[in-house]
Amino acid sequence: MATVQIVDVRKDFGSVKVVKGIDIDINDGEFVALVGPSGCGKSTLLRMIAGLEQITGGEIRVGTKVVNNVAPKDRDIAMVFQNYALYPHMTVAENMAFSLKLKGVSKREIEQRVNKAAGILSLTPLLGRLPRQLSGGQRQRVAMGRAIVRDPQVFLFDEPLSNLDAKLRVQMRAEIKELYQRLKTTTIYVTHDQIEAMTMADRIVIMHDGIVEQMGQPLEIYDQPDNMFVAGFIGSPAINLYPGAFHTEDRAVFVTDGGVIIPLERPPVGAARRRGVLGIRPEHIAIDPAGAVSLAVMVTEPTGSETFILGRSEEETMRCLFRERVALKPGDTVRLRLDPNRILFFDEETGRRT
Amino acid sequence: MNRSFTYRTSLLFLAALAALWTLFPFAWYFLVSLTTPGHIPRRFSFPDVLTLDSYTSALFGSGAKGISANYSILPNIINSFVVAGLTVIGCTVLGFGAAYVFSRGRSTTLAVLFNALLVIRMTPAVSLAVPIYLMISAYGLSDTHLGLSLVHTMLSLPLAIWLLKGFIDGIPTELEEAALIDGASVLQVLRYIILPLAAPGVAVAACFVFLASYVEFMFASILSRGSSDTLPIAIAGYNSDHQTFYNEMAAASFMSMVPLFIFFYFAGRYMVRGLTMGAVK
Ligand SMILES: Nc1ncnc2c1ncn2[C@@H]1O[C@H](COP(=O)(O)OP(=O)(O)OP(=O)(O)O)[C@@H](O)[C@H]1O
Ligand SMILES: [Mg+2]
Repeated sequence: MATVQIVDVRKDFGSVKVVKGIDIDINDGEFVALVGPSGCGKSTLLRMIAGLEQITGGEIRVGTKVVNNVAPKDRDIAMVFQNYALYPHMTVAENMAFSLKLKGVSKREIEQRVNKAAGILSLTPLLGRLPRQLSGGQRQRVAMGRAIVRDPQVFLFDEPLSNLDAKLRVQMRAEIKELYQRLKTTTIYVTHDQIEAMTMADRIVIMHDGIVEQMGQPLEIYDQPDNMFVAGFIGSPAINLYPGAFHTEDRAVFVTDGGVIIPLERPPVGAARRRGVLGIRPEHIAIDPAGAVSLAVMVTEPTGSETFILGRSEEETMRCLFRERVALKPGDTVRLRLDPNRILFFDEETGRRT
Repeated sequence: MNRSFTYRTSLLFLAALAALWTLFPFAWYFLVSLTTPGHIPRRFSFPDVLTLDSYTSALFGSGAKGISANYSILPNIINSFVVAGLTVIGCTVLGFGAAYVFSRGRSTTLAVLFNALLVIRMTPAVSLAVPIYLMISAYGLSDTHLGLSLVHTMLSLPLAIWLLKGFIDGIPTELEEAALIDGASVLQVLRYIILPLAAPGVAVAACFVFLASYVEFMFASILSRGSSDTLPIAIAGYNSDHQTFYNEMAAASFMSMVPLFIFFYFAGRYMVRGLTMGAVK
């Protein structure tokens, strides 16, 4: 186990800047999830940590050692690829034993360690099979087995679950988490599934366009997003964001550009007549006959445990999520209260939270 | 699909005709090889007596004077095997390394070089005869196995590289990256990942290269002086200035195919398809 320090790391592919100066400090034994939209540089960053990609600028340290120019084989890092990359001509046991064999570990010890890993991942009955004789989930487990037999300093995962169907994904998510609890090895986990990130990680790093937008504990990021991008990226269904202006004449309100008037408890200081963006998460909206906002229901999606409602208020669309069952159907009108304590404000120009 | 009976019969007839067209000369030739030595067939006819005399006489040089060439092709079989074997080793070892570089390399220089290799292969071999003869003699390699196999390697290497590159292109780079992370050096990646997965390609290339060397006539005849004569030279030798020993020539031709079959049989065991299945999703 080791710390990983990423200091002002950059990556250019020719003239294209893909990673534009990233700083992340990862503690010993921490589970960090890297999330961000497609193409933001997550895989590139992970590959630089693994040593598969040359670093254009900055420094990566594993433990106390700068690894910028260390070959992948000398970094003592294990990686699980999105498509598993199992060696097709080797059995499950041979796949897992490969790294140990290269290291010159004795046959006895290899067998012991492979059996132990296979036991943890319930792969024991499959040890003699070839990858092509396995299901997707089993292949995924072999890929993890290959990583854990090595007992490396750091685990890297690049979207390990994205090739699995929804149900298996949830199951494997739990298995990976359990495995991590057991091994407590420093882990960097790339995903663009925010649920995965929220549920598994100690800390989340949100990347966008080659930079870090925010870094923090899952709920901290959820409740206090630094900017509009993070607010919009984390949370499903997504947060409602309305550009508009503050009015503080007789009572404090926010008037969206679409004409919705939202009463405020305490507007940001010096907000009078200033513009801004108001953000409210769908679950912070409640049905209240005395509520200030009226909503014409367009779509209802009851899932049993909760009800999602998409509606229109003046010229704005609004997403709401209710924990209770509500008997609403398209065409109905309902009055809503936006929890004033949960309302977020962002600067319209910079996108930063105010 | 339920094609009509006539349609299917005519297809079958066409296929049979094509097979007959190809096989007829061989069939006749085969009968010639089984005819009594000295008997020169002018027209297709079934011999009165079938005998293996031509085979024994070609193998051991034991035939009677006048109706036999009186030499054994055994040394030539060995020569051919050695030359073709050396050529296969040269072409697969060099070809594998080069194909890997051409497959994974990302520079324009490499692309140009690769195409140049294929274009060079299109020049008529005859145009190379004189310069190659001079070069091989200059290094004292004429009439040696090594000399001829060097020339054959030069001739077949482009094909071997092209074939192997196709196979290596089909191996996902993630496998190499996974091996690098697992602690392999570049050579170990080649040895443990690329080579086993490209094995069917290596076998295919080996067969082509072996065959090309085994039947090559022109350079073999220019460069050999007797002690390194390959089979095609020996077979051509049955046609001398005064006499042509048809029966032994035919027998030798059919016997020359045996080593080929043996080689192809062993190479064929590596041509397992679908070896890379299940590597990546
Ligand atoms: N070898 C390369 N050459 C040129 N550009 C590249 C190369 N590899 C990646 N890129 C570019 O770098 C950017 C980031 O790619 P990367 O694979 O890191 O994204 P990602 O965040 O992992 O996305 P995804 O979620 O789709 O996997 C992309 O715009 C991609 O086109
Ligand atoms: Mg990626």
